[in-house]
Amino acid sequence: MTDNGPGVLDFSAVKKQIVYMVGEQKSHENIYQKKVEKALEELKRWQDWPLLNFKLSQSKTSWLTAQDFSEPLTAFSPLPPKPKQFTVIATDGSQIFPDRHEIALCYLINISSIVLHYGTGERPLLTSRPTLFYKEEDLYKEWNQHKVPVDGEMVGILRNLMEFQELARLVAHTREQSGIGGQEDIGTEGYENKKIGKHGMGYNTEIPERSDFKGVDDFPHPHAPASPHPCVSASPQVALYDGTLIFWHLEATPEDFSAYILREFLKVLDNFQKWRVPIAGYISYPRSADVIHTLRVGMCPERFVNCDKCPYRDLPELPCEPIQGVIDQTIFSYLLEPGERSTVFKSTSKILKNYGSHTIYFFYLNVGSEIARVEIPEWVAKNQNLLALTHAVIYDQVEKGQGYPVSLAEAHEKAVVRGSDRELFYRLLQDALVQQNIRVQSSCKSQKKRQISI
Amino acid sequence: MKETHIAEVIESNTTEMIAQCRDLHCSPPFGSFVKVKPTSTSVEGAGFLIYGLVFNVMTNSIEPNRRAVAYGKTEEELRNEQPQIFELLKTEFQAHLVGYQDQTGIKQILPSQPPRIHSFVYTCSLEEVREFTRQSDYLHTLFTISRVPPDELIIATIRNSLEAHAEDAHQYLIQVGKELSRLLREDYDRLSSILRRIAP
Repeated sequence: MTDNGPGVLDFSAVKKQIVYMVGEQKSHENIYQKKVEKALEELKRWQDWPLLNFKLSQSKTSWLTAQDFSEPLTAFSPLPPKPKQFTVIATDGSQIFPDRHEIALCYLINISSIVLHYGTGERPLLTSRPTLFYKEEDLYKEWNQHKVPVDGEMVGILRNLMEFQELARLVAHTREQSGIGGQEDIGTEGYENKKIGKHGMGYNTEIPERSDFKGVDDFPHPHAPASPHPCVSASPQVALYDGTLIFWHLEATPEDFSAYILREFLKVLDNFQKWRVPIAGYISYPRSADVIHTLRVGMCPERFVNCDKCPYRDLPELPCEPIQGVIDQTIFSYLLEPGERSTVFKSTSKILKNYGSHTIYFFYLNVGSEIARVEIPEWVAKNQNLLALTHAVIYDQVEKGQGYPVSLAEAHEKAVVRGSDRELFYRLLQDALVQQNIRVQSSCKSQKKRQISI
Repeated sequence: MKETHIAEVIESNTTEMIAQCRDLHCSPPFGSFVKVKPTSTSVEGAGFLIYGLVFNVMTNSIEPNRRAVAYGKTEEELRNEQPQIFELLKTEFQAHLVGYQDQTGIKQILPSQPPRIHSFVYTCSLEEVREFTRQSDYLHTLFTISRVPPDELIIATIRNSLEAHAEDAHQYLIQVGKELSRLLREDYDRLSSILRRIAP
């Protein structure tokens, strides 16, 4: 008999495989380094960047590229000064996925709300709010006239939408508090408010619900200059989101569902644009290679690239292959000093065709500990003030959070639903069912997982 | 005037309780009297006013798996640059239960039931302190506390309560002095050390 240690996993067997894995990676290291050097050469070669931009716009590739840049690829911007006073708003979410083996089919989404004021001495807000979904329309979505059960993927997307809606709600509230604007349609008509309104779920935030907001009469015109209200706080706001602003995973969900999510999401972005409050998606340790792909287009000898009709397939190595496998953050780690950001690129993700004026741009930022990717809507990318504000505030947030934006770290802490919370949730549910004399039944599989006899 | 509570009971047992302060760093002083008002007069066993004596004050993280770290900045700088940390800290205090009040008056006896969790805690007014410290029987129970030096607690308690006896301070000191000399009759050095430090 072999002793596998305390758990089930045979670590002695795993260890051997780890050794092989690391050995193989080691042997690839030199090759990768050469690829990186080649990529850097390519990056510097494109001094005629408008030509590359043009070639990209006329090319058809299977990969995502970085487009619409307005300066050389090697251009960088130094860290702009941050405002004396500003407010950072962040949210995050966590969930208990629907589990058909459990005693009842339902799911829970917990959304955190973080508002941190800097330089004003105002009290920050750190809170979270759970919402339980259990109705027929929550559990099944229509797709091609068929009802499909909501799966983990869809719950995740719904959660993302709720995070965005919460960001908008927090900005609206902060603006209202500082007297800038009243209640606008902040695009939170979706699940969140519907749920809370109907079921009155536990609500521990100090922020009033929509019904408590004042009217929209004094809301300034979106393009009006700064509000003349006497007690307007001049401190700018920045909203941070943990992850990508590109809803690419919507492509695999039911049409009705994805259309609904997109519509609500764009409504949120509309409001941010009206308020001129930049919203940014922060991606730590990004694995994206959009800029590398752009260079690969540049390396192709064809005038315009069409990967489907690649004439070089018979060659031992394609002309674009020497830098394949390199990721953007690696090359920017050679180019950017702490605080500096890359030039701003446009993403070519397919889903962005639906984004209208909110199409997503991105830049890479050396935050000191790593190269992060920051995604912003077009109206932030094209506005130097909003861009500089986003750049300065995100760098400062990472500095304050010692490696990761402090607001997003707190948002995560407030939102996270751990395994033990899940257990407690199902125990509470079971107790409530028993109290109402409802027969409690879970699948044999789920029962077996809890108690296995010898 | 309606009294405002300063803390809320979050843990209690027969001899002591832990209360979380409403505001950070706003604990009643070490060696001061607090009272727990009955949560509900209609609930049996929850109907007495309970007196406690603060013997330990602590400030720490609200989340057990997170600890405060040194930032090397002044509190003002921290409030400007890291405002969230003050929301993640809490101040709590432990109070030793020294007596209760029923219809017949104050008893320096442990209450039959400890204060209920989530009951509100209030500071005691000077009149209440004067009323409670008319007798010094409670002093001997303070020697049973092991987490803080009991002598320090006794000194702080007596010095704090002196203010409530502004009019009969001399008389009050004689009363507690007699009680202490009874309690410490076999340890003259300790007694004289306490008496020296109680002297106003």
